[in-house]
Amino acid sequence: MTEEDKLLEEITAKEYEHGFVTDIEMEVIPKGLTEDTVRFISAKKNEPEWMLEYRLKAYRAWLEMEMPDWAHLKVPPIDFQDISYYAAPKTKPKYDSIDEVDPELLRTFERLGIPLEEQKRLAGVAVDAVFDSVSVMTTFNETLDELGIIFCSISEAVKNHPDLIKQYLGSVVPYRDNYFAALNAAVFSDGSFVYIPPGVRSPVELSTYFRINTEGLGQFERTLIIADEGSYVSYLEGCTAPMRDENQLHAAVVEIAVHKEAEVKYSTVQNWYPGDKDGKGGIYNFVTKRGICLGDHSKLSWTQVETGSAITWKYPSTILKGDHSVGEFYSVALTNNMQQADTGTKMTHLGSNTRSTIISKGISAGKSHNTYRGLVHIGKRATGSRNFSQCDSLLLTDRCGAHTFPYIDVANSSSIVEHEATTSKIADDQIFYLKQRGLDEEKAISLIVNGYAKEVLQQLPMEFAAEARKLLEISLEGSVG
Amino acid sequence: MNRSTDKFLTLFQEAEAHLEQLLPLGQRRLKARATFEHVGFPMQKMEKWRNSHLRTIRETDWVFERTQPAVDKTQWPERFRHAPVFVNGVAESDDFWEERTDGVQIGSLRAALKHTPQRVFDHFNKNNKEDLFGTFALNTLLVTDGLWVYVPKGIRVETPVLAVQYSSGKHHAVNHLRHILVVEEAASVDVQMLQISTPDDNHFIQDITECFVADRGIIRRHVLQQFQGETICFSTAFSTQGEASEYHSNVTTLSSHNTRNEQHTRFDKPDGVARLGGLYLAAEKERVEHQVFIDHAVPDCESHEKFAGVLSGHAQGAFTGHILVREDAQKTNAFQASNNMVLSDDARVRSLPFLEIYADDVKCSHGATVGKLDDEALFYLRSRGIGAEEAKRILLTSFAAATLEDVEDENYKQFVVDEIQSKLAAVSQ
Amino acid sequence: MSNNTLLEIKDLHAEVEGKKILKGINLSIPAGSVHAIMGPNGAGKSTLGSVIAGKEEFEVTHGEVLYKGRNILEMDPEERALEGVFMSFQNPVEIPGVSMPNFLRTIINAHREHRGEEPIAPAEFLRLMKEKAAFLGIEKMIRGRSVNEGFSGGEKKKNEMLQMMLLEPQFVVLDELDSGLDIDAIRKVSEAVNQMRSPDNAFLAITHYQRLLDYIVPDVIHILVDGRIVKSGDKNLALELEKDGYEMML
Repeated sequence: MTEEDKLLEEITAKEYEHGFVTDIEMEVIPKGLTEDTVRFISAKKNEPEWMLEYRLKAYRAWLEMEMPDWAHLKVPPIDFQDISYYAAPKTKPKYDSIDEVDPELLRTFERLGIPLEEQKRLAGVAVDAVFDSVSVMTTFNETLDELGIIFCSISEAVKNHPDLIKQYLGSVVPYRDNYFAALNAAVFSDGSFVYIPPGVRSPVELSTYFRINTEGLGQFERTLIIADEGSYVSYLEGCTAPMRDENQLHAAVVEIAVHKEAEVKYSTVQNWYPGDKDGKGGIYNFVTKRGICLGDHSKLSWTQVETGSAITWKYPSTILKGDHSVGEFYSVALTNNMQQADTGTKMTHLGSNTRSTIISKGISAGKSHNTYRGLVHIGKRATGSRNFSQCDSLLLTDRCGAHTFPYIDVANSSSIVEHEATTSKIADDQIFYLKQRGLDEEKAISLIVNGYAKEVLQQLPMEFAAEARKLLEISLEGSVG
Repeated sequence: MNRSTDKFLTLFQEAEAHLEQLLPLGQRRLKARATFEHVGFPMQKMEKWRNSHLRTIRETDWVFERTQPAVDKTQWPERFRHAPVFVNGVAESDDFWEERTDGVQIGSLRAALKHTPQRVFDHFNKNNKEDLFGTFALNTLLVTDGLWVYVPKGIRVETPVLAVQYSSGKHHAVNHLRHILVVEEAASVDVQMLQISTPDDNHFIQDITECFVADRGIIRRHVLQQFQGETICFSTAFSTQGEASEYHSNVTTLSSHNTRNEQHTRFDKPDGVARLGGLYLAAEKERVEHQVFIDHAVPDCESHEKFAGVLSGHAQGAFTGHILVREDAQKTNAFQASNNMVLSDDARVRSLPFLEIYADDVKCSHGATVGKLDDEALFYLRSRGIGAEEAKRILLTSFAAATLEDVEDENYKQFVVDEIQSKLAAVSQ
Repeated sequence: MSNNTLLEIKDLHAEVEGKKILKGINLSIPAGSVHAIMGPNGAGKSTLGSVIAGKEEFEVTHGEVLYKGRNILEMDPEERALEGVFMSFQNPVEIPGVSMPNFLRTIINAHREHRGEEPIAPAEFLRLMKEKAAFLGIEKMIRGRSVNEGFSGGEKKKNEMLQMMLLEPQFVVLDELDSGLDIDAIRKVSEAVNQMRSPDNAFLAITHYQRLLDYIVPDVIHILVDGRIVKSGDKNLALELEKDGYEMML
C-alpha cells in the first residue's frame, strides 16, 4: 500500500458537519403516494380548487411517465410508495415574530449558520427557511414590503397572489417536463416565491435554506422567481440534511422568469448529506431548475457549488428568448467517496444576439463519479449569438471517474460556439511546491482546488463564497493522501 | 422487432443462397442473423443514432441485385482510374489477387477466401462489434466482397494500395462490403480508397473495414468519398493496435447524400498512437456525420483527433467523438478537435465531443467550435487585393486542409487538397 | 560534526528510475556560511537540492542528510520546510487561481502554527508583505496575480526570495538562482540573500556559472561531477573553473 493509499484509508470521510437531528414534534403523514396524498397536501395547505386541480393533473401525468435513465448514474430503485410526502412541525407553522419560533428550531438554524434572527438584518440577507415541508418564517419583510418586493413561501403566494401563481407556475417547467418535475408539481410542499416589481433592484440578497429533518421524508420544494422589467435580484439557496442511514429523496423545481432588461443571479451551495464513505445513506437529489429570459437584454446567471448528495441529477438551464439576452452558468461540483453527480446546463438560444457562458469545474475524489452534461442549442432565428464553454475536470485519485458530455447544436451561420474541455490529474509539482513551503498534503490540495475553482467561486456573493470555500475544504478532507 | 430488421431478414432469406455462392461464410452468416435478430436495426431514438437519417432506410424496399453494371470511370479523379474496383459490392475482376514474393497479399476478399481461407477466418469479424449495433451484424449477413490486404512481419509496403468502391444503380439495392487490412509486427501499409457513386445511384452501402495493427506496425488508411446520387453510405472502420503501433485514418467527404462514418479504435497494448482525421464538405441537402470511439484500454497510448466540417445550403452535419479511458490506462494522452464552419442559415451542425475517464494520470482535452468565417481575416486578405470569393475560398481551404495535417503521403494530401479546393469553389459562390 | 554544523550530508547515494545520479556525496555546512555547488549539466546538482527538499521521484539508496543533527530523509517535505529548510526552485510551478496574498498568508500561518503561534494579524501580514515586496520591487506583481502565473523568469525568482524573506528559514537551497535573469535581477535577488545571511543560517547555492558567485560570495565551493564532489576550495576555485572549464576536473 502506498503512502497515499494509507492516508486515504486513515482519514475517512469527515463527519458530516450538519448531520444532527432536531428533536421537534413533527406531523408526518403515512408513507405512500396516491391521489389522496395529493388531496391531503393540498387540503393541509388550504389551497384553492385550481391549485388542487393542477396538482392532480401533474400526479396523473406522473403515473404515465418513466424515471429517466440517460444520466451517467447508477440509481438504485426508488420505491415511491416508501416515502412520506408531507411533514411539518406540530407547532403553529407560520410565525409572526421571532419569539414565537420553537427555540429548538431556532437552535437548529443557528447551528446551520442561518441568518434567521433579527440581527442578521444587518447582514442584508432576507431569509426564507424551509424546514422539511413547510416554510418557517420569512425575515426582513418590512424593508421588502416598502419596495413592493414579494418574498414569501409559495403556499402564501398561492393564497395571496393567485394571479401571479396562475400565470407563472409551470410556465417555465411544465409538469410534463420530466418525471421529477411532474412528481414535484403533484406533491410540492413548500418553497419560496419572489416577485420583483418593474425597475426595482432588491437591496438585499434573498435567501432560502432547505433542510430535511424527518426520517423517510421526501422533500419537494418549489421555487418561483419573477423579475419584472428592469429589476434585479440576487437569490441564494443553501441546503443541508442530517446524517441518515437510508437514502432520502429530494426533487425540487425552480422556475425563473426574467423580463426585459431584468437580471437574476441565482446562487446555490448544495450540501445535502452525501452518505458515508461506503456510500450508505445520503440524499438523492433530482432537481429541475430552469429560467427563461423573456425580454430583450435580460440576464440570468446560475452559480452552483455542489458538494453534497449521494446522487445529483441537476441541470440549471436558461432559455434565451429575448434578443440580446444573456445566460451564464458557473459550476463547481465536487464528488468524494461513493458520490455520483451528473450535472450541467442547457443554454437554449432562441433570440438574436444572445450570449451564453458556461464555466464548469468538476473535481472527483475517492471512488466517485462526476459528469458534466451540457447542451448548447443555437436556433435558426438566434442569429449573431455566441456561446463559450469551458469544462474542466480534475481527478484526485485513480479510482474515480470524470466525464464530459457536451451537446452542441447550431442552426444558423452567424453564430459562434466555442467549447473547450480538459481532464487532468492534480499536478504533483504543485503539491510539492506547496509542501516545500510547509503545507501538508491536504492543505496543499485544498489550496490548489480552491484556485482551480476560483473562476466560479468569485461569482458568489462574498459571504457565500467564504462558506463555499470552507465547504470545499471540508468535502475534500479524507479525499486524498 | 422493428420494420427495418424484419425487412433485412426477409432480404437475407431471399438472397442467402446467392450470397453464400459469392462469399461462403456458412455458420458465420447464421450466427450474424441471430445477433441481428436480437440487436435489431438501429432506431432513431438510440443515443448514437439520433443524428443519423434512418427514415429512407426504414421506408425503402431494398433489393439484392445479381447483375453488375458497366463501370464509367470518366468521372473519377485520375489518381484512381487504374485502381482495382469493387462494383456494387463485388470486385470487378473475378480473380483480383496478387501475392508478392515477400508474402504481401492484395486482393479481393472472395479471392482471399480461396487462396488463404485460414488467414481470412483468423481475422474476419475479430474486430467487428456485431452486437453493438445491428448494422454491424447486418454487414456479416449481407457481405459479398471487399478488399484484403495482408503484410507479413517486417515488410514495409512502399507504394500505397489503391482501391475504388463504386456503386451505381437505381433499384434500391444493398451493397455490403468487408475490407480487411492486416499488418504483422513492424510491417506497414498505406491504403487509399475512393468511394464513389453515380448521379443516378440510390443504393444503401455499408462497408466495414477491419484493421489489425500488430506490435510496431503501421496502417495508414485514407478514404475519399464522392457520392453523387441518393446513395446512403454507412462506412465503418474498426482498428485494434499492438504495442508501439500506429494507426492513421483520414476520411474526407467531398459530397454525400446520407453518409455516416464510424471509427472504432482500441489500444490493446501500450505505447500505441492513433491519428484520426475527417472532413466533410456538405452542401444542399447532404447529411453527413462522423462517429469516433476511442478505447484507451491500456496505459501509455496517445490519440489525436482532428475533424472538421463545412456546411452550406440545407446541409446537416454531426460529429460524435467518444474517448473512453479505462481504469488502468494511466499516462493516456487524448486530444480531440472538432471544428465546424456554417455558411448558411439553413444548415445545421451538431457536435458531441465526449470524454469518459476512469484513470487519473491522464491528459485529455477536447475543443469544439462552430462558427463562421473570420471577418477580420477576410478583410485582411481583401485589403491585400484578393477578391471576396477568392479570399473566402482560401480561408475555407486552409480550415478544411487542417484535417489532413497528419497524412504522410504528400501526393495524396495535395490531391485531396486540390479536390477540396475545387469543391469549395462551387460551394463558396 | 562540529557543534555549529547546520547541515551534514554523509555518503549520499540517490537515483531516479533506476539511474544512479548521486554516488556518494559528503558535505558539511556550518551555520553562518555559504557553500556553492558547481558542476556541468547532468552532474546531479539539482538532484542534490531536490533530495534535501524531499522530492519523491528521487530514491535515496544510501546515506544520510542531517539537519541540526536529525536525519531529514525520514521527514515529509512539509516537515522539513516547517523545520526551516527552504528551497528556491529553479522553475517555480504556476498555481492558477491561488492569489499571491492568500498563498503567502497560508504558508506564513503554517509556519506560525508549527511554532505554536497565533495566525498572523491581517494588518501585520499586509505590512510585512508590502515591505518585503517593496524591497524586491515586486509590489505590483503580487496584487491580483496567481502564484507564479504569467510571471517572467525574474519575477518568479524574486517571488522565491519574497517567500524566503517572509518565512525566515535557517537552511536555504538556491537552485540555479541566476538562471534566466538579467544583471539587475541577479543583483536584486543576491541582495535579498546577502541581507538574510546571519551566523544562524546557511545557504547552499547550486549554480552552473560563476557569475552568481560574484554577488553571493561563498565560503566554500564544491565541484560536482558525475554524482561526486571532485574538488572543494575557496571562492578562487570558481575563477579557476571559469578559466579552464570543467574538463580539467575530470
